[in-house]
Amino acid sequence: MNKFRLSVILILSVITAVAIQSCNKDTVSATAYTTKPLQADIDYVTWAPDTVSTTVTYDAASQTKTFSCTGTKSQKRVLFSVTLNSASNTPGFTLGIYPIDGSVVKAQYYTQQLSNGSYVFLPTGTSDSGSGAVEVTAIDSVKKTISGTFHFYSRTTNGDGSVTTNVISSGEFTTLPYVFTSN
Amino acid sequence: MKRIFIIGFLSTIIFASFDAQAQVKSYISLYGGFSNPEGSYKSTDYNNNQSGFAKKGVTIGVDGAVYLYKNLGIGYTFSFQDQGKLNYNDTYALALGYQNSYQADAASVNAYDRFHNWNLLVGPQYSFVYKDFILDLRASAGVIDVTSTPETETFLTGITQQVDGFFQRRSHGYCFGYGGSAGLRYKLGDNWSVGVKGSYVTSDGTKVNVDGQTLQEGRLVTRMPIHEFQTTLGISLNF
Repeated sequence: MNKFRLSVILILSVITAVAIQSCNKDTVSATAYTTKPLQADIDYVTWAPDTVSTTVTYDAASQTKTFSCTGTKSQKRVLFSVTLNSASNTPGFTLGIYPIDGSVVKAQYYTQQLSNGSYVFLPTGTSDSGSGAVEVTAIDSVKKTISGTFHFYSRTTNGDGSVTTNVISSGEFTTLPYVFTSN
Repeated sequence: MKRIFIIGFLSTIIFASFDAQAQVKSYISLYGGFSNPEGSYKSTDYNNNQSGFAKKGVTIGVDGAVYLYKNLGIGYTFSFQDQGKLNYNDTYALALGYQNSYQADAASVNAYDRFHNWNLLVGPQYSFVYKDFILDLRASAGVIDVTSTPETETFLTGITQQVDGFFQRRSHGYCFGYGGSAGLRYKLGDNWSVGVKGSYVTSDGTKVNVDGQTLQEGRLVTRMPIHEFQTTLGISLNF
C-alpha cells in the first residue's frame, strides 16, 4: 500500500513539475523614451536632437516677433517658426495654437544630402498650409524658457510622379531655453 | 546563508541534549513549497550586471537520506524550481537603463521565457531525535541544471552604431551548486512522517551570451548567479 501511495505521489509530482515548466512564458515589452527638452517622432521613430537652437527675435522695423526653433541630429533637421505681427518688444511670446500657413507659421524638414561634393542639409519636401501646427503652451520670459508642441508633414513629389510623405508627429519642446534678441 | 546558519546554530543548541544514540530510519520525502530568490538573483538593479530579476516561485522535489551510522547519513535532494519571469517594471527598468547608457532617443526591451532549474544535491546529514521529532541538518553540493533564463531583446533608436537589436540570450547548462538545509520531521507512525524544511542553495550560475551588440554601453550580463532560499512542506516514507 505504501509503495502504491508513493508511486501515485511521485507521478503527481512529475506532472506538477512538467506543468510548472510549461507555464506562462509570454513576451513582456517596455519602451523608455528620452527626456530631452526637444523631441518628436519622425516617420513614427523617436528623434531627439542633440543640437538645438531656439530664439525669440523682435524686429523693430516691422514690429514683428518671431519664435524659431531648429533641432539637428542623425542627418535630420527640423525647423519651425511662428511670427507675430504688431508685437511688443518684450522677451515673452503669446500662448496659442498656430496652424502652419507657409507664411507667418512655417515648418520644414531637412535631411543631410550630398550636394556639389559636400554633405549639406537640404529641404525634404514642402509643408504647405494646413500641414500641421505649432502650439505654445507656456513661457517664462524671466528664465527665458518655452514649452509647447508641434506636428506637421512634408510632401515630396518624386521623379516618377509618386509622392513621399514624411510625418513629424508628437513633437514637443519642454522648458526649452531660448535667446531673446531685439533688432 | 545567514538564515541557514542561525537556524542550524539554534537548532543545534536546542537539540544538543536530545537522544543522539537512537538509530534513525532512512527515508524518502516528497515536498513542495516556495523558492525565494536572494541577493543579486532577485535584484532588479540595471546597474548591477549580476542582477537576475528572478521572482518568488515554487519548488517541488524528492528529498531523503540514507543513514550509514546511527544518526549520520547521506542526504540527497532532487528538485525543480520556477523563479518566474521579468514583469513590465523589470523590462521598463532595463529599457530606461539602456536608454540612459546609450543616450538613445528611445529604447525598447522585450523579455521572454522564465527562470527554471533542477537541483541534484547530495551531502552529509546528521539527525537529532527527540520523542516523535527529528531535526535534520545537512550540508550539500551537486549539480544545478539551468534549463532556461529569460531572454531579452533590446532595440535602440537614434544610435547609428547600434541600428539593429541586440540579444541577451536564454542561458542553459549545468553548473556546480552548494548549500545547506535544516528540516524538522514529525513521526506519524513507524513508516510515515511529515515535516518542514528550509534550504539555501547558491551557485555561480551559467554563462550568458550577448550577441548583436555592435556598440557596448551600460549593462552587460555574462553570468547569471543563483541564490535561493526555499521553505517547503513534505511527507516522508521511512524505511
